[in-house]
Amino acid sequence: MSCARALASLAALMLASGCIIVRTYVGNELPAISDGQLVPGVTTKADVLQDLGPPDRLVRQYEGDVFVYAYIRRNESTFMLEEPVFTHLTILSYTKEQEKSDRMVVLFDRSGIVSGVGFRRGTEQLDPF
Amino acid sequence: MIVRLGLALLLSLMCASGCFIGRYEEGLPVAADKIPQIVPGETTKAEILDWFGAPSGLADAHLLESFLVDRELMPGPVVDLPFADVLVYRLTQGRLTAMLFVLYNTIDFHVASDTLIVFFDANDRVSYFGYRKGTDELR
Repeated sequence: MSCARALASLAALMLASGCIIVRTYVGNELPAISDGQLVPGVTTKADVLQDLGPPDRLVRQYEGDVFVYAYIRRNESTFMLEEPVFTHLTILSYTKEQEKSDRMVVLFDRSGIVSGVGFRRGTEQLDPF
Repeated sequence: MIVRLGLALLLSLMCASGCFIGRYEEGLPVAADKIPQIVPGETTKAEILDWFGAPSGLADAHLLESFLVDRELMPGPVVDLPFADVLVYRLTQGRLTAMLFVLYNTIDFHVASDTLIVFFDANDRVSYFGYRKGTDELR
């Protein structure tokens, strides 16, 4: 009988707890940029479009265009333990959420020549869970 | 008897799993077969409009993009306002895969786009263009 009780308790506990992992990826991974591929004063808009493809966002400034490339990843893990029948009381809730992105901006002058490049790779810092 | 019943209950709980796959698409496919015909300095805006149709932002709804932009998961539409010297064609696809095993649940949501951007000079001829087929990553 005690075995049955233990089993029932275990079943109730398992019914009440759960782990949810949500992964959201938006965009495409940015291509690797080699040294000398984007040189301010030399590289043209045509070169950038050829090598990196179209930007995810085009911003127009008085001094020239800005290409924005972005790849965003978000991982969310949730563990919940709650009493399922009478009170629905949450005994434990643990959530971990991480959002990291790779972002690159390429600035052009009015003649379409690269005037500056900014790049930050963040997705490598994302924990798997 | 009770033990068997409990075991059966536990087993059925463990097996109460499901798999959900959803796909969402917005925009029209970019006519990739026409892209090799684009020649900077020669191809006109009229030809681009003839080959690829009305550009994104003028003819398509962008529910998924708006949803993601509101949650800062996308930098925004490629261009906010239609510029006279830039046309953008974009197909955005989203794929949702969920595996629900009662105790352990995973949900993956991946969004990618095919994008063609074409710049024109003052004479309405193509000056630059770029194309990326990003939706291949969803397959």
